[in-house]
Amino acid sequence: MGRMRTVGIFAMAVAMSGMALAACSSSKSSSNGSTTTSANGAVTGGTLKLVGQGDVDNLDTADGYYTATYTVERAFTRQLYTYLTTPTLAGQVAPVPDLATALPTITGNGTIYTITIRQGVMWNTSPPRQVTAADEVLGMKRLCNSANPTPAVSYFTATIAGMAAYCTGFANVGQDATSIANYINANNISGVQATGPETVQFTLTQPANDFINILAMPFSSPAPVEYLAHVPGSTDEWQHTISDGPYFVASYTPTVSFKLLRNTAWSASTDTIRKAYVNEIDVTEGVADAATALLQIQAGTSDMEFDQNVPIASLAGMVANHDPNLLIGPDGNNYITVNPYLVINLQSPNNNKALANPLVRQALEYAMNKTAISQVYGGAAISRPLNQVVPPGSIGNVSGYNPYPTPNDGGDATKAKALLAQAGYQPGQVNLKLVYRTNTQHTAVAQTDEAALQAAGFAVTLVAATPANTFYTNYLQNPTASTSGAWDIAEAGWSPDWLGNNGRSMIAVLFDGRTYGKNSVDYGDYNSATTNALIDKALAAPTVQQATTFWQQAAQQIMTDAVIVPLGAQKVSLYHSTRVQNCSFYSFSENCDVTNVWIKP
Amino acid sequence: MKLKIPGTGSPDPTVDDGDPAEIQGRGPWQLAWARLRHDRVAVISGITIVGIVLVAIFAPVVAHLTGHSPFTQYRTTGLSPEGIPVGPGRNFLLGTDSLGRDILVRVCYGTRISLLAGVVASSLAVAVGVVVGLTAGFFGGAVDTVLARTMDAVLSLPYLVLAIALISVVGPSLLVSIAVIAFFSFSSVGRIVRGQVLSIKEKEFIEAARSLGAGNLRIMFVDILPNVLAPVIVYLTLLVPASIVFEATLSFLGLGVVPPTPSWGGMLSESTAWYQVAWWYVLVPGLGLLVTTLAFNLLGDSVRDAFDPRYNRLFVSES
Repeated sequence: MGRMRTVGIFAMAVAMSGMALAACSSSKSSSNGSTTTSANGAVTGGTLKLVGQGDVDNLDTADGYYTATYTVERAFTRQLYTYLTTPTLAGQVAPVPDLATALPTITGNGTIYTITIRQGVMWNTSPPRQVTAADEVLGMKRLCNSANPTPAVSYFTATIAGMAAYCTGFANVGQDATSIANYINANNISGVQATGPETVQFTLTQPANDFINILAMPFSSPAPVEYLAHVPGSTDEWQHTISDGPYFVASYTPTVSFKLLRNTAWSASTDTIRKAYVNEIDVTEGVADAATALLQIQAGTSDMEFDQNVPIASLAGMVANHDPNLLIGPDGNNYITVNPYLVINLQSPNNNKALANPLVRQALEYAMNKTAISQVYGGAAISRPLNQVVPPGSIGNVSGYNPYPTPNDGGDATKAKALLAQAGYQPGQVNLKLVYRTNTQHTAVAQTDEAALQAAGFAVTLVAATPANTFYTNYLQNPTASTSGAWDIAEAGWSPDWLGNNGRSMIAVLFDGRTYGKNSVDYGDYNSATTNALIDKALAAPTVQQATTFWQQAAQQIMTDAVIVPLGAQKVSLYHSTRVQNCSFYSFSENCDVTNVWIKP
Repeated sequence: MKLKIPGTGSPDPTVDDGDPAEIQGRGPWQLAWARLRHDRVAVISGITIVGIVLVAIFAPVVAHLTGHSPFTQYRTTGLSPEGIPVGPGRNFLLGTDSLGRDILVRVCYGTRISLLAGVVASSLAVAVGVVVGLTAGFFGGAVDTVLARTMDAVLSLPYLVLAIALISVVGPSLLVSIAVIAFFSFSSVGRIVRGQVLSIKEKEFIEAARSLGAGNLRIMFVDILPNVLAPVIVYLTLLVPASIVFEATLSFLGLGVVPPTPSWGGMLSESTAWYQVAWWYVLVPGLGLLVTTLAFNLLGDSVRDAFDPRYNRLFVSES
């Protein structure tokens, strides 16, 4: 699964020794007064102020599926494994132990993962209580609860033995807290067992070289037994969160604000990843737009973005001036998002089923002006033309691969027209319905596409999806609309859930046609036996190296079949106040890591 | 009593102060026209509107002279590599938009949409409103109850919310925009007409017409309608700018004219992300909208003043 948005960054964990963090006895207290400076110059103390437009999607780790949510979850939840906050992406792609003492012991031909939880990691209950293997088991058992099942449940049902059966049974349970608790207490997932007080064992249905990545999703967080009193993911539960991270949610008013204060049950010696420099994290929500958020940060009334990026109009000036407070990530030739890519409705009956003809789709591959699209998204600093389905930074990318090259990535109208003619179509004869969203850059992108397509001999009818959220529900993810020809092509975007070994969150989910149906993100209904087989091989490959080969083959097969036109790969732009230090891009939450930045007094 | 028009250089040819014997009897229409012609604001507004209409008609000429079509994206000359629009200059007199298109040419073409939406939607609203109001007022009883309550209901609808919902279902286009504007505007006209008809139909001349054997339709459209036209025309002139703004609002929200067809509302909507770095992007279509609606509004005010029988600013009595 992926999330449809952009923002994000994070900071790295600078080598830190002996940070004296304000720790004391009472489990829910905080101090926000004094600051101390450590040997490396990092200052402990102060309040970090984030400003945003919208809210988190959920505060329950089982349900939160949004980068802004991850920013907050980083502060008050911990997972068995997580990612480091390093200045470069290279240090962030491999999961590292967080709650776990070490990487898992893998036995049973790659199907049994045994993990030990650190001693001294405490819930901020009264009195504080050790996080146990039973809590991890409970966390997994809550995932497919009948009230608010986790949106990425397939990660777990596809990998963990007994998970699918457990979830099938859960679906028929009442949606109240009591029924849910009863089912959880009476049933077990055969593949998730607490084999000791601090030892948890996962049994997989088949080897999965990305299982640690799945465990590093916040979905996989342990859950305290107190959560059984609430409906998972309910607003009632959001007011009773329990923390095992360096901060706890002191107050949360939905769509208005957050206040996170130090969790005194957290001990720095149990956490090598979060330095927890600031004493308090405040999130103010509800600003009008990204431009307003930026103004507040520039004025110094806020420190960091919560759910916004730098507006494209402001970006060019900042890049030209080398603004030190601008952060574009990830570093180097790495990109977070495939945005946009042209989805082709392979089921469309329009134009005598022209889009079912590979020649017409190849004409589309040549027609698009990718440089112009990149310009719409702010130019080379943040966006670049993409010529394959997987951008650099994700598994399956093949260096230098470009099966449909055009001069300067600006499109080749002559070649496109020739292919159309070869397919038996006169210029203007293929009239494509281009459905687009009417918010942000999408209208500009649609008009850019239209110009390129018309130059290449296609006719285009623009179909506005209003309001913007109907774009997916009424068109791309609606098989009826697809088969009836309500749309032919559309610009979509995709952010994988993690970078690096993310084929499951990228190629598999976007191009495995066996999962096609309502709400599928294989929008065009691509279903190739060859590609599906490669996906299966990649997922079950014993090592990441072997998986890489299969993912690359699958990615090339998809381009050979010309079922999407990759257009752009995007980075994320963030702005922070001059007070904020150690603000490195954390690719997982696409923001700076609030637990590792510090505030210059 | 004779009438004199103060403050005008040459006397009104229809008003000859020198020879009272030549004073001609004039109907309310002639009076209104005479007043209007001598209202400076009305004249300036009228000239402005004529100018705007000419811009709309000759938009292709502007495109020809500049060599820029309203749809062509000048991605190298009209945009920086980072996609920032270029400002007013020799190449692009009023700058470019976020896709590198010539704003001057697009604003000229946008005039067509605004005028079309304004005039057609208002005329449609007035036509429907007159027929409904006339029918309701004339027939009374159950017909009146149904029609009048319908108009009340339409007036009480939150029009923008409903417009958004409706356009979400049927999809945006200029025709749909015009239909939506007309639908939400006809009731106010209908209510005015109905009120007028209710009083006029009790007048003796209607009774006379009936006794001479005139049918309902004849009475409605030949005898009553001319007597309610004055307020309707006033309302029409004021409805035009309202409709232009309504269309711009719909386009601003992405519910109106489908891009890349230029419309002022659409251009303003696109410009909101750029106003900090490209002032011309928001200013040019904004000024177009301002000048046009102001001209129509001022003309509407003048027309209302001209038709108002209590009006006595221009005409003073003199012994």
